[in-house]
Amino acid sequence: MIKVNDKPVEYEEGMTVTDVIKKCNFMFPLLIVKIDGVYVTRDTYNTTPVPDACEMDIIHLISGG
Amino acid sequence: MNVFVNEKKTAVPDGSSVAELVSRYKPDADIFVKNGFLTTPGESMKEGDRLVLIRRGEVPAPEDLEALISARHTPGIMSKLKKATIGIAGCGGLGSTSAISLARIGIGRLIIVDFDVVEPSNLNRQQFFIDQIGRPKVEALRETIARINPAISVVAHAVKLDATNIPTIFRSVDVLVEAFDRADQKAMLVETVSRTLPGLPLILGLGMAGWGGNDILKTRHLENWHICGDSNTEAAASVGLMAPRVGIVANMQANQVMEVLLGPDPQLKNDVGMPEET
Repeated sequence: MIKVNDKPVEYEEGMTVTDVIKKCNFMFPLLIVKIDGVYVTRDTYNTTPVPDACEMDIIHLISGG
Repeated sequence: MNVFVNEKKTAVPDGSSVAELVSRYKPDADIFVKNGFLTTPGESMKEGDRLVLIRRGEVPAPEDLEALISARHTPGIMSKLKKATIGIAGCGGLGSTSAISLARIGIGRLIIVDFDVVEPSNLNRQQFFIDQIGRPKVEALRETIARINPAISVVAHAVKLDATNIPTIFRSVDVLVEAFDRADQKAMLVETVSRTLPGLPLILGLGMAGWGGNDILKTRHLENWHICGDSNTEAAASVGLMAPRVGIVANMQANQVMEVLLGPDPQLKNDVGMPEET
């Protein structure tokens, strides 16, 4: 089990950041992703493994300011 | 004993009253602020107390200005704020508003960056004026800040921020305020900061379009990144950006800057229950 934005999400062996984004239905192209507080750069979503029991933050970047 | 009169350390007789110090140091004063709070002449002073004496309506001498402007601050924080350098990435609704709040509290140095000029549609939420239309936003904002507190050092860059210049321009800041309008620019900034300025406290504004919804405006804390706003309501066709909600989020960002610099305020009260019986 991992946590995404404080909500439990089932862990799957070998899952990457991209897998978690799809599994949780994040639709926006621009995100902030952190795993246990460490920022994940966009070009590594496909290759960054998500460890079991980690805590992830995934946040939509939206316009306005 | 030693007290501070208009921020100058001053030796006075033990137990001196506010009235005694008024008659000695500023007999025409009619506003008395002790330790950040309005007081009366009959109050007595204690070792280390701070008293600010103001004559209503009088423009102070430049050397007294800082002490008088910060008279209502919580005592002891001014010197820490004065040492800080804050970066503001973008001078629109978020950046112009947070920069002015940070100037009002006496942040020593502000590095403000925006490539754009003031135009009329900015005036519904951004801290500019009709007579500044057409001028670079950073120049207009620098002028406004100087009218509030000329002691604030403002470094203004009229350039478009990108992955190359962000690490150079913001190299020396203690905290960076993200104040862009467009999501792709926000993404560029977080990518660049994570690669080139790791560890830098970063305060983002996210989700402040529309009106109302005060109770869904929050700050989310991700290690040293802090995200202010509702995180959901995007500016888009039929969802506007207007002064109240943008201004609240801008000031949440400025408020978060204070918390990063000073730590949590130990005197905040979060209890909305009944008053305690005495």
